[in-house]
Amino acid sequence: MNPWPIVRAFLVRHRWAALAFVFLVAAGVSLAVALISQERALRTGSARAADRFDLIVAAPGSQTDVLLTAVFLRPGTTKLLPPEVTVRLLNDKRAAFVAPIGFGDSHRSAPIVGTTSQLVTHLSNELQEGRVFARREEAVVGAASPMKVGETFQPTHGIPRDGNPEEDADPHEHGSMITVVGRMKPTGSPWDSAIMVPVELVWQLHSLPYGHEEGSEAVGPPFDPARTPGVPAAVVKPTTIAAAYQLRNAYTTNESMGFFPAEALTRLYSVMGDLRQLMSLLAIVTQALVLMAIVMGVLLLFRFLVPQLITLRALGAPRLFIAAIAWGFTATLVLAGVGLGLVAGYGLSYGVSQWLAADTGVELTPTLDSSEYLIAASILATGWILALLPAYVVQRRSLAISLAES
Amino acid sequence: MNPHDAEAGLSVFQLGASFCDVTGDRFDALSGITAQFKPGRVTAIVGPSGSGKTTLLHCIAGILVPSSGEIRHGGVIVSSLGESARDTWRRHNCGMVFQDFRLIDELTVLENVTTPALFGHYRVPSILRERARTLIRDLGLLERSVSTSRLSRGERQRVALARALLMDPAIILADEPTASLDRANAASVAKTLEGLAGQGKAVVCVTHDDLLVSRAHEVISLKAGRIGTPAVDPFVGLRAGDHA
Repeated sequence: MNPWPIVRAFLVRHRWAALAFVFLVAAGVSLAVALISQERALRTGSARAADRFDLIVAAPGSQTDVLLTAVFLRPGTTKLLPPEVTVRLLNDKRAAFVAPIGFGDSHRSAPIVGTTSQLVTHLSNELQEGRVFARREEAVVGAASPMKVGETFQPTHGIPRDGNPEEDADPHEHGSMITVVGRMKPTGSPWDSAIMVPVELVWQLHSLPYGHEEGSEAVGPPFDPARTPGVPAAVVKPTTIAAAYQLRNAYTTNESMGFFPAEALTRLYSVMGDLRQLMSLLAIVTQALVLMAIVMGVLLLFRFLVPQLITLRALGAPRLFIAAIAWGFTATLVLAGVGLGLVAGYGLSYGVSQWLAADTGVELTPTLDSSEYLIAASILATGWILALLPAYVVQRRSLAISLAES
Repeated sequence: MNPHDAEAGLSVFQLGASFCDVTGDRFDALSGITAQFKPGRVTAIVGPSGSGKTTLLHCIAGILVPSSGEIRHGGVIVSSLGESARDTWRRHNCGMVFQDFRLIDELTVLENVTTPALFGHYRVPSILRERARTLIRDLGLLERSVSTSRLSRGERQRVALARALLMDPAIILADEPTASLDRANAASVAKTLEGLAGQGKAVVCVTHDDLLVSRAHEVISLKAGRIGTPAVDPFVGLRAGDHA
């Protein structure tokens, strides 16, 4: 007994209706899969981007705002740490290094971040190309920067918001000519598109004390306590885990705020839990729509097949043969739809990730995990059970009456 | 005469079939039908519309379970078989030809003819495939790789005939096999059915067609579900080559 030649012939003959059914199922599955895959990609991508930022100290305020500004390099307004706190922090022995971060300038929409070579080395492990900056007029670019080592540029005051420099209050070029001397390895974070310069340059360009004696060309620590301005934030690499907690507590005062980015992200995720629930609800609604589509499709396609199945019964085909055709036809379409949906869902999630990565700089790597396969499997299983419906109905009907009616 | 006395062939005895109408009242579609369908003979079942011709054919085929009476084929009481067993019996013993052909238009000519072979095999055995090709050729058809929906009505009826003959059944049951055919095609089908009887098959046709009736060895005339005239050969002595 082999119903497949007949199932195949039915599929070929009714290919347009079958394709429409497959695409309907695939659309629903892909949406459900993409929603869940994308939510996970966002979570893992943002966590990975913040992974190398052990502790951040900033002026009291919103941890989320500081996180977005310091880690994800989103334009924002943050208060400055008081200079005395900054000095105390920069010289704290419980930290392997403390890297001040200074913002305010850009070049061709890429943010220029003033910091120390320690942070550059820490984020990149080793550089992909060139060396870290050793002079104020030198820069290291992120892995995704279009700038080449050896290229020179003049920093522009202001950071474009949403890529539109027109929105800045006072865009103008600073006079300094900066040379790119190195390129970082990919970090999967917005830092890949950024330009890192010595923080002294940022201070100097903004007419602030630049952390060293007047006329000194030094870059990096130690900083002169009397000549160090406040900074928006500092990235701290504690020597030990215990030191990390000590530092956080020590700098959680009225004047400063110390926090672990990972914790802030976790709180952010919990706040976004409602969004996740909404996405889960959307996924469930999508699945329900898919199942409704399957039921409707089954009933519509069933109408095509009934006369043929009745004929086969009248010719003496075994009941199992009829059931296998009725089930096999719909089950094949559901299988094709779910399979295509998984592929399309991954593709959709990949496309959205690319778009978001281009927009935010956070590398998002969509994957298909057990939850997506579970959704696909549950839709497939339900579809296959629903596919029994035509088989059952054909068996239940009186053959003589069916012959007269069809 | 008890038709079951016959050693071979198909017989029905005191067959009755009743149904409920739309108002829920029962009515007898068939009542007290006794007849024998011998191998090598063409039996035409005639009668006005609604007289129970197709119901009788469906009872004989095991498609419909009679309310009373018995259908016997050889040593098998077909009417007492369960549905699956009746399907199996029909598959092995009956070649069905339907009034509207009931071809599976999703399939080609050859695929339609070989469909019954799929019921019991994973692949159509080569011997049956060859037999299908022979039948197609003998019935004047071309083995075309096109849907049967593209064929003429005469061609479609011949495909239906070939399909009915594939498994070499002992009984051919045909419902109005010439109803929608032109005169030439109807004559061809009638000749084919006659030829099948000549090969020893019991051929039972429900028909309104005088041409087919004139070639039948037996005629059963139904009226309101009962046999109106005795099941006799009306053309005894008139037909050349009569082998009754």
